Amino acid sequence: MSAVPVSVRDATGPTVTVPRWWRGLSWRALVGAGGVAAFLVAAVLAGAVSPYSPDALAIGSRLEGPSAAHLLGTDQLGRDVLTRILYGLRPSLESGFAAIMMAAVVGVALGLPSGYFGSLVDTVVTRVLDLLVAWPAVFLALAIVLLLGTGELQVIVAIGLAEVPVFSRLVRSIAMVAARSDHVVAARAAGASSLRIMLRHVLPFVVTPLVVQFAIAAPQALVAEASLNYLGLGTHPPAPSLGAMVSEGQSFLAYAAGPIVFPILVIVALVVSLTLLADGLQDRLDPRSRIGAR
Amino acid sequence: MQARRDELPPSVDVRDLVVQFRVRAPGVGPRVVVRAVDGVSLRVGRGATVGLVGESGSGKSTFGRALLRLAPASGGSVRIEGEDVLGAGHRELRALRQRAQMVFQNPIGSLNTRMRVGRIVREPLDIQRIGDRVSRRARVRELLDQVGLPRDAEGRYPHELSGGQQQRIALARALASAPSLIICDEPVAALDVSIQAQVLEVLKDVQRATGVSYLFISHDLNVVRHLAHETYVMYLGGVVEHGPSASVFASPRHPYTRGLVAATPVADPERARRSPLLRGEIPSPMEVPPGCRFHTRCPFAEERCREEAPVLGETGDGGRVACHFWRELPREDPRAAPTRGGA
Repeated sequence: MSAVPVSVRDATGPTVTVPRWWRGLSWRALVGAGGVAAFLVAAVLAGAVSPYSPDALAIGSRLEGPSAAHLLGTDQLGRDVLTRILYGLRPSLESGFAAIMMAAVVGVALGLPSGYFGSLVDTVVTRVLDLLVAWPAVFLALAIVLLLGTGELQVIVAIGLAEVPVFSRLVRSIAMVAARSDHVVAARAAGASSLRIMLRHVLPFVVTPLVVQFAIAAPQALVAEASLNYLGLGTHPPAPSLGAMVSEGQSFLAYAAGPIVFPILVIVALVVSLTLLADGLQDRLDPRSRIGAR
Repeated sequence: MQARRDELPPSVDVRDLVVQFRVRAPGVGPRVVVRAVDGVSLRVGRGATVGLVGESGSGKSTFGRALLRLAPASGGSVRIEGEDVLGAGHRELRALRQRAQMVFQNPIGSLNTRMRVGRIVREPLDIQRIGDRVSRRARVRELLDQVGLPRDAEGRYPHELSGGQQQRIALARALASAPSLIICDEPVAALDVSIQAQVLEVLKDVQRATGVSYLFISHDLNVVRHLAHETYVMYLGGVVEHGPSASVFASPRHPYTRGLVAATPVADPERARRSPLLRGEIPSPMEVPPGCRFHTRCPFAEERCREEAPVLGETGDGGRVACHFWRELPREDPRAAPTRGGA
């Protein structure tokens, strides 16, 4: 096994421990993290970097190819494609993050008591989640958007809800094991309440796998966000979004490929970065690959 | 001192405790009731150490947990310092849990590895709201000293310390609320022999200093002999023998105890190895044999043992034994004589 030891123990005295979680991060994780960081910076600095407004129309320069003035060309309304991509990153990253955050919070809120108490609580939670899982995630998201109307918030709820079962099941499985361990019995013997035990003696063991799951869910959420926007269920025009740009660009594909190809490339690059990061994090943080800390 | 102690109610007084679980038999069987503990009475006086021995599956751990309502008792009574545990409400139970604590077999498993040692030891004080922030800090230091841990252990994580040190942390945590009783469930079984002796010494020191009493659950007779004033022997959920440790180990009366004592390894290369007196496995608690629960493995079993369950009777010298024939059993090693029963 190539796991990195967590502590170094010698026979003569107390043990020495170095915080090493950041060591042994693979090249994949570093490349992924670099890519994600670059996109984040680009989204945040969109206004400062770009000389154009994302909504500025220029009828005289429609569907132009890349040039010095418009690095990635212009779209059917003469808007700068690079500017719209930079601005379009914002809702994608925001919605994706918010959706997973929601899934994680709801997943913990359901999974923790489900795994800790077991029996009836577990049965009810599991059955309700089964109802969610029975639907393909995209159909579920579609149904929610159709039910709640279009908009960024609806997209967040739709994607978040679709991801809830994954998080809840993960938390539940860890909570089940932790709840039966001696340190939980010891806490109960000391008079701790169930709430205290769940928060102090079970939740800490959930954090690491949760981070990994967060990273795994991120690219999925991003693709889902782009898909919903592509279908016109997300942001309202003329606000830019990567998915919407792809769908708008379709009609003019015969005249110019830029408005559709560049957003797609950005989505792909972002998803690949996130996936690499998740992969690297998982290798590093997955408890099954760790020794020493049990 | 001794006289005053005797006037106080014992640390724990258990009468006819029954713990049963409803489990599904292997396969697709119906739910059956398993009696893990079947009418056990036991008493631990103030400042005393009482040993509870038996093989795995004898119900001794379940018994220990049931005393703190960590396993569901379905009959009998448990009194800690005279106060009823089984009927206690939410608030009373929390208060009672200050007075009795536990130490477990697997030291690292019984500690929250995401907490620093100082917080682990302080947690019972936080839960029970004992003292303020300053006094809790001081108390944690005092406890670490008492169990022989270095001062700087406070800021470390459990996995940075050795197994013996981890068990000291667990002991310090158990001592935090100044309990009258600590239930030690195989506290040294997971440790190296050299470390075992150290931890046992710490247990003794702590008892001398605080007057805490121990219910010491173990399968290791050498350890119990070393520590306990009195010993109970448990088999398949019932007590088969009880008495002062010295006489239980020097002249065991029950065939099961005799088997256990004979099976205890002795560090003496001159002593010849002999075939084991105890054969076979402990039966499943789902199928407790009728009559004497030990008859299936007893080399002396007779017809009466298969039909009539023996009661725990006085031996006349301070001990009690649950066997129909303990008076008539040959004093010499039964393996010399032709064995009866068997299989």
